[in-house]
Amino acid sequence: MSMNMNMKFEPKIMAFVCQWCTYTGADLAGTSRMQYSPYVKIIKLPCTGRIDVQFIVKAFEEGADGVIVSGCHPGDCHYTSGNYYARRRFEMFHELMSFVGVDMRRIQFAWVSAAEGRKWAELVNEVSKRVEELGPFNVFHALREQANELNP
Amino acid sequence: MNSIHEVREEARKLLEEKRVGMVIGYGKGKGKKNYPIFITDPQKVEELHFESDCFYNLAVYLRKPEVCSHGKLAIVVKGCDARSVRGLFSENQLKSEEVVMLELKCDAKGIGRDKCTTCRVKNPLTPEEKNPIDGEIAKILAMPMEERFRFFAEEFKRCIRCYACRQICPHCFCKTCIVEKSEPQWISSTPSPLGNWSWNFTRAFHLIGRCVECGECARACPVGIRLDILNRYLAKSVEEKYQFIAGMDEKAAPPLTTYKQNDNQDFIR
Ligand code: SF4
Ligand code: SF4
Repeated sequence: MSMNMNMKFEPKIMAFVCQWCTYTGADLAGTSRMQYSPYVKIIKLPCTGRIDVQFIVKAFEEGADGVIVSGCHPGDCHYTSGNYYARRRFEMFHELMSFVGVDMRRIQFAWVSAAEGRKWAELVNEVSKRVEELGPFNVFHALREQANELNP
Repeated sequence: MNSIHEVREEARKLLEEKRVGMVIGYGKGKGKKNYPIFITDPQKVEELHFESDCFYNLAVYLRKPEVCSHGKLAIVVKGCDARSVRGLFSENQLKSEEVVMLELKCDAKGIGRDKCTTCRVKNPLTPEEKNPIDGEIAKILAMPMEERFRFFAEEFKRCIRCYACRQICPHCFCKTCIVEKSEPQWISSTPSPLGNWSWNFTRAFHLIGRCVECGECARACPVGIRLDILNRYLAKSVEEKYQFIAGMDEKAAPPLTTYKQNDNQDFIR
């Protein structure tokens, strides 16, 4: 997202969340009328195990400045082990992303249960603030504008 | 096995006794260059060679229909190739009863590729030491984030999407690669900086805990993208985090297909 002289930078943040815990937690935050940052767009998935890291790459390709991934705490997975598999994938995703120079302050993984409406609101606020401070993800978004030298 | 003579003898026996239908190995071309050969006739085993430029990872042929149709197979392997074959066993892509490995000790000197300076499997079955942080990896780790990003973005930008890296890799065996999926299209298939970034990132990700660091993708890449640095770094992290080295144990599940309840979660809030 571009910044204008008199426009405040409004980060685009995508949240990929599991329907059993975090989505319900976010719902609770809403029904409890907790105020939180409006920059986050939520996509609900069956399980963190279903959250392919391709979704995160795609989000950045489509212009996101930050990403949240959240699901059930270890031991609480509706499908017993989806979040355990996801945890390893995210750990290695984290490793690869940082190695190729993506500032991992733009991506936050979290466990938020159905009862943790407050944690959800805090998480969203914290990530929004951080991404706001980091500014737009220009280095990445610039890739879209650049032409391929071998293919003008 | 230590010499090509022993390999030829074994290959002859296997073919004569019809224990395998084909032997995959290295032959010598007119220009004295080594290249992959496929032998079905026991009279021809003398064509097998092993010299300093046998860098190909022959394991990639094990799953080609033209090769599989010959039934059981024997394959000449260096340490790195043996890791590939065991990796394929561990992912149920091949059955160990169907493949005979003719292992050769490789001094990795003549091949002289980057992959050889960091090689730990000169003796095919015993890894020598911890994966060292080699100079190339150290150089990247010393860069600030934006510089790293620029380094890799510039590398990936040169990609012409020929997919040589994928075709040559024994572990890129999906029937339909994600880059060819069109509904939805996850990765743009046109060579462009953005699509290239996603392609190279995704390929590296899909090979985590599976890549055996044979270095063939980097060798095959016509524009010299340093795919090897990515692969070696990821292999090193996998070893540190999960005490796993791809292709060492044909019974061990690759680390991203399993989990432990007490896996690290320092990075999760
Ligand atoms: S080094 Fe490249 S070709 Fe070899 S196994 Fe790893 S990804 Fe595949
Ligand atoms: S071999 Fe090199 S140029 Fe070809 S697709 Fe792979 S990275 Fe791109």
